[in-house]
Amino acid sequence: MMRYSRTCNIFRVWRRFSSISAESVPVTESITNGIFRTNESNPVNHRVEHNSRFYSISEPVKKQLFAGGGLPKEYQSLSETLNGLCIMVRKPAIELIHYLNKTNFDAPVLRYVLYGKTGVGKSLSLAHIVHYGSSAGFVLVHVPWVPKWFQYVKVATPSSVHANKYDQPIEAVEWLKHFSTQNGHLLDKLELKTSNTYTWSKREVTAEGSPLSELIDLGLNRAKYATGCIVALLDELKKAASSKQCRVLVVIDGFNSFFSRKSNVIREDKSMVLPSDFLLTDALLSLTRNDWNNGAVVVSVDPSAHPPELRESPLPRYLLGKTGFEHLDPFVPIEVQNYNDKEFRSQIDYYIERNWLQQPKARTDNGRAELSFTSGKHPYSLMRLVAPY
Amino acid sequence: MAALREVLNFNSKCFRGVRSYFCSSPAFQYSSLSPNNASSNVQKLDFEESDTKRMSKAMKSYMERAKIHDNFIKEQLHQYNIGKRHLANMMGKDPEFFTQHDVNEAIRYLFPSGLYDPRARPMMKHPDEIYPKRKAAEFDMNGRPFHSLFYTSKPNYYNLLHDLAVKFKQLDNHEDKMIYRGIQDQQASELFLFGTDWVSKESLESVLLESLTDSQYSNLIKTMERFAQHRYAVREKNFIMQFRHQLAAQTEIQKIPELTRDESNRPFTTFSARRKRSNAFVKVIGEGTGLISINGEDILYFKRKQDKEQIIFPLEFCNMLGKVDVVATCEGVGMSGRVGSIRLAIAMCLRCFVDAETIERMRLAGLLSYDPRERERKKPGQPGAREKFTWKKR
Repeated sequence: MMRYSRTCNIFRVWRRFSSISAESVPVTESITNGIFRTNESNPVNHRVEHNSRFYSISEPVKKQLFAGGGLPKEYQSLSETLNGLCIMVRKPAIELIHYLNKTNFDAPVLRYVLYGKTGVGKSLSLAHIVHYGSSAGFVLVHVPWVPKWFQYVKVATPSSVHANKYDQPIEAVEWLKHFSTQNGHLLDKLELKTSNTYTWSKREVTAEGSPLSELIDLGLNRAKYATGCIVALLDELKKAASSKQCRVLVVIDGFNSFFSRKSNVIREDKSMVLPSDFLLTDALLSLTRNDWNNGAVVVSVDPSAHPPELRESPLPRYLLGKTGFEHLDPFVPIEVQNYNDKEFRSQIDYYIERNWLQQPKARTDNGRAELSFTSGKHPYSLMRLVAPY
Repeated sequence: MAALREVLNFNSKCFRGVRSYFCSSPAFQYSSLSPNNASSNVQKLDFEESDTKRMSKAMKSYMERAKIHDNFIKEQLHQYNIGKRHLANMMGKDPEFFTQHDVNEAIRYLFPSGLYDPRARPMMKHPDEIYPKRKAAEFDMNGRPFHSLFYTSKPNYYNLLHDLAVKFKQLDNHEDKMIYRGIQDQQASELFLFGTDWVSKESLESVLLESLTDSQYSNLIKTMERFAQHRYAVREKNFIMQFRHQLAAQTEIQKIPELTRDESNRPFTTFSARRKRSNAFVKVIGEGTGLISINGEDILYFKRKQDKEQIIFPLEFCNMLGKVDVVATCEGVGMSGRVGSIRLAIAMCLRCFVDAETIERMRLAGLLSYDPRERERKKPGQPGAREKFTWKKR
């Protein structure tokens, strides 16, 4: 009876949680005799050969990296429906991985900017890079979606650290939690120490030489000082990276929101608090400057990170504005485009294999042509086109 | 000869029936029914003189009326012809070769009218076209009707039905003969009706010169249908075809535009279409890869799924997805109107790239028809076009 129930359990486990261990995911032969999956689940090894193939991310890795955000919501719920998170390996990510593998970490930090229309795959490429950073041993500073810090601020308080700036206690605590989940084990291993003393109040002090985890814990427990903790943390990480104690990968989605002219915080005199008035902005802008080394900065600019009036063009110069462009200049621009034929085919094959596209016409060339032209090979449009709602 | 005999036989058969109904008196005896046959052996009886005299008066007034009408028509015809010559002189054209078309043009020029209905505008036509046709004299000087079915008050209509009945019988006899001889002679009798339809009630009325009720018309058509479904109905093809008119296929009427070549030697056509206050101007270029450009953007110019599908529909229907490029510009209020106009324009352009069978399929699918629906006007006293205010009982 023991034996029976064990095999039964294993069978159930294999069928429902087929992506739990990456090695057990079989390479499925596509119905069109092309291959749209790959077994290579370590993004460090992703090369041009893996282009347009899906690789799966196991559940614990997904929880670790993306619990605090990073995957677009619709994509996440779709992946839950389709029984496993699979990301397509596409050209922008391959290019970035190639660059990151070949980076000269003694030189000042290189900034990479992903740009493209809304819904074309920038956030997923960044998610891929986050996974890469985690696998390659980078300390991840990952901001999943910047506009969330400015358009839906729950509470904004005048900063205790800096006179004219504002704190975002709730968002800061959330982010610290995200940071510690992503990097917890790595920080323990690296044993990074603070290089300054931080006096928060008469009684709360973080002494010099205390582990960074203490700083993080303080921020998690005391929302009032959370923003300040983040500023301190990022400062320390910069110094640590420059002194070769660790390697830092900064990944920010919706970077142009730092330079937008709207937030939902209004002072008593009805004037709006601009994103540049927040302390977190300063912290991250400082981190994305190229005055440190032993790291990399990967950033995306998206029209939807701006209010509707500022969405005319998807290009970086327009979205960043003068200040933003001068801040990031020089950077490596990487365009994320619509699916090409191979990627589109692969996406359809994936949907068919997962039984998301159930019409027999989807398997025919005519059906694929119809999908291709109706969605314009735009990834988000395709997802919405085949959605049931 | 045989046909004439047949007609006479038929008439006499019919007439015998009439005789039994109308002519209860043995005094009246008719030998033949032909209206032109004046040599009827009518036995003159005593009271006949007064009868004929009485009838003569009614007949006289009828004859007078008929004469007046004939004269009137003659006069009108005379005036029409003179008028035509006058018009020709006025317009500086040759009176001998002045056609009705020229007359219409001249009237339109000399009497310009702003009236909406064409029938209200001034016209000069042949009297036959203006004044309704009347039947020729239906009974002779003695009041004796020429047609045996005169007292049905619609002799031509009922005559037609009787003809049908006789022909039906004849076809049945023929079929019996064929079966007796064992001949399986088969010509599908229904095929020859393809592309035609039964004449309308109005045209039938103008031919028969009698007004028909709807039920009489439908009765006639049903009888015709039944007749046409007979196995050997082909033998009476000419007779049936008198009552059917040709349905012109739209594809024969619409001229398909030509393909021209552009600078890079690729064939293309253009078409502009309207829908609901929006216009579209579309250029479809052959030897393409399926690029779709709408006002400079790709198909995602339209946000709604249904709009995108409308654009793709004509291309998918003709299997031209990925084979032609489409460059469209559209303007006008509303997405739905723009989309509809682009769709029609694409379909019209695709006619040049596909074969006749596909064009017919497109026509049947409704891709080639202009959609005339417009927004209905809001009426006073109502919140919308059809919506009414809440009805309160008191």
